[in-house]
Amino acid sequence: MDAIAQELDQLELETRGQQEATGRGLLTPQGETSSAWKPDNVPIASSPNSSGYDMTDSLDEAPIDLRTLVYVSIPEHLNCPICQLPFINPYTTICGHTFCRTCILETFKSPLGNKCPLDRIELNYKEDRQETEEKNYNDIFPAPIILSNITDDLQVRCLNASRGCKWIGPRWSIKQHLVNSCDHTRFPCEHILDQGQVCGQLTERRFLGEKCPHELFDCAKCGEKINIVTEEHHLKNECTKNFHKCNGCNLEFPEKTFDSHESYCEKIHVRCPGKQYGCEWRGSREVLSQIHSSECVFVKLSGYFELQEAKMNDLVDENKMLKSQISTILDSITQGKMTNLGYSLQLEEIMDRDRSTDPSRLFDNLQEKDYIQLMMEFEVLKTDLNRLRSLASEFELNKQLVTALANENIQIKDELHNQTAALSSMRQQIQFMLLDRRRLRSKLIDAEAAPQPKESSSSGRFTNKL
Amino acid sequence: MSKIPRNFKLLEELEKGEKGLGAESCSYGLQDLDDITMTHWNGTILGPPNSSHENRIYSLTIECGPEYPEKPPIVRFISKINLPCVDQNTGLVLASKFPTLSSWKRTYSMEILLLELRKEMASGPNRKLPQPPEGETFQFH
Amino acid sequence: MSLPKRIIRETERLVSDPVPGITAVPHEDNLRYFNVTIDGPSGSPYEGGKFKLELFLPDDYPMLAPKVRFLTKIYHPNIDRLGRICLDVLKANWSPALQVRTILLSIQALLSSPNPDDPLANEVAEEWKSNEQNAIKTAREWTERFAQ
Repeated sequence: MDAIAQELDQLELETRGQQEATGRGLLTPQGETSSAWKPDNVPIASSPNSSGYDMTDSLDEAPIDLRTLVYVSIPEHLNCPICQLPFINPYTTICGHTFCRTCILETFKSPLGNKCPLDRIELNYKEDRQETEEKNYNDIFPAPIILSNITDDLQVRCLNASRGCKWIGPRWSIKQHLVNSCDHTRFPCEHILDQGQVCGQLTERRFLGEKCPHELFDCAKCGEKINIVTEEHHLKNECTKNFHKCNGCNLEFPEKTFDSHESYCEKIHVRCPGKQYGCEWRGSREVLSQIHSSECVFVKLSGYFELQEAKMNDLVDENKMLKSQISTILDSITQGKMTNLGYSLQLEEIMDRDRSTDPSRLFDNLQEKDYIQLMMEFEVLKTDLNRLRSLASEFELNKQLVTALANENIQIKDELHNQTAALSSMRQQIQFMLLDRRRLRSKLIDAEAAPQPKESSSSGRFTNKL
Repeated sequence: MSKIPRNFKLLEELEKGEKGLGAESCSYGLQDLDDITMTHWNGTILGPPNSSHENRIYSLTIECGPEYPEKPPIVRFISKINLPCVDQNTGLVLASKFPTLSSWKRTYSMEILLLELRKEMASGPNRKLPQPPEGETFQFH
Repeated sequence: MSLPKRIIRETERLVSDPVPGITAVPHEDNLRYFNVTIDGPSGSPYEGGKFKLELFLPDDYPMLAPKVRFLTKIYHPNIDRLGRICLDVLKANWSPALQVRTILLSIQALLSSPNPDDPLANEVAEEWKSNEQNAIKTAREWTERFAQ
């Protein structure tokens, strides 16, 4: 596990050496629309000493990748859920979640598309939205300025920390520090060499001066060829003649072995190991081991003290872990996630389930597409209804007409009946008159004794006709 | 580009083969779907047109060892074929005579390998080589 | 080739503050490639088993989902014979706000609640639907045989 942690540390150091264009004024990433998400994947310089900040461009264009910064402490709540680093140029969605601008725009290009990475709500976004468009605002917009201010104020270490810079300051001032004041920022050496060429080697600011720092000279102690840049390293780690006198035994040792000598020199003055528990004793290591340690009460008690301390540290660690867990849980809840509780369901999904059973909320879940389709169906139904209404009124009219006709029909029938009755009474009258006439004629014939057949046949025809 | 590990590279190749996204003139698949190490594969090559291989289907075996794709797979013809880069006794494709194997790169794949073999069959001098009758196979020992 | 900070931070946390029942350790020569173990959840037929998986973070992670596969044979309707996993958050439902941690938790949850209606291993899913008792028995046997 330790090996991994070390490796990761190493990688972290390396990433500091990388650069990518950044800067809203000083702090916002530039060119972020075109670059891929991997903001840290810029090849690093090959020399292991180079992890730090180098100025190779003109001052104004000096790019600083804020993502490579090392923060003194990171409050989890200020982390972008995507890159998991403090927000850089934060943007907020209509659903209330905040991300780095680069991160959320990159997500829009990923398979997830224009959706909020936390609750998957569809987000409307167009980079170059026209005012004439029906909807001329985006569903993501810059987060409140106070958030940028808080994140810009976070304390960061200098990008040159691995070269020895101890600077710590607010994030907004890192560029100022690197460009104008950090002694460990490297610049190309501008000295002209004998052959007329420019030296050009990247050199930390502290070595730049009137003389070219790469000019070799003999080491004053051993005579080896060194220059200003390598002098410090040479004296401390390489030179065999750079002697240092020990305060305890008065013997001289080369600087490179001095540290190890100090750790075992019998004559050197040390403090009692019980000093952290209150012992004021001070003396040579020899006396300590032979006399003092057997007498000192604090040393005797130190075992107990250490045990107590270890227990206390355990409790502190546990407390810290619990705190961080609580903060993640709170974070998850505020971000609408429940994943850290062992469920992969999102809070919104659970709410959706409740919602779907509540008809009044039905329209909340409707997509615009569905809505348009429903509207169309509604229109069709409306026209159908109108047509039916007009048909119904027509039908009503027809019904009235039919009743009128029926009434008329009854009247006509009555009349016809009357007519028929009148007609039959007239026929009876005619028949009666005819019978009467025949009787009169037969009487007349009897009286005259002369029969007239022709006349009777014609009257018979007439009777038949009736 | 980071290095994709062997198993995930083979899974990608398998998926491409399963979905038939690759070229039509060759195909490949796992011999045994229970083989969690994904070592043994079957391949087929459809003989290139305008050559003595036209309309023939050649079967091969491909063995992707633990060091695939750093090291090339071992490729062996099952169907008999007369080709300079194929050992006429065992059907083994000889790296020494087949540049795709001798200068293998980790970005190559089984599909590239089969397509290159097909190209080899169609290349100038090999195109009209007399071929053994169809259906004969190499003898494994 | 350097590693994005997010991967470094996720790895640090996985190692320093591991999820109970889950370990994830990166390979020394490829820090995007993890050896994972998941303990079978208690109350499931996988209880008592220790399942090995491999996980790889592709170049476009976290824009693309991690790739995960079981290396231990397992009898489960959503895991096929090659160890491939059918899980929505690994495919269409991936979001860059998810993490290796959350994905491994989801896989652990999948072991607790198999979903035979969205199967990857068809025969297993059929068995699960037609004779759940028997399927669970087989899953338990496989756990004893392969996941110790």
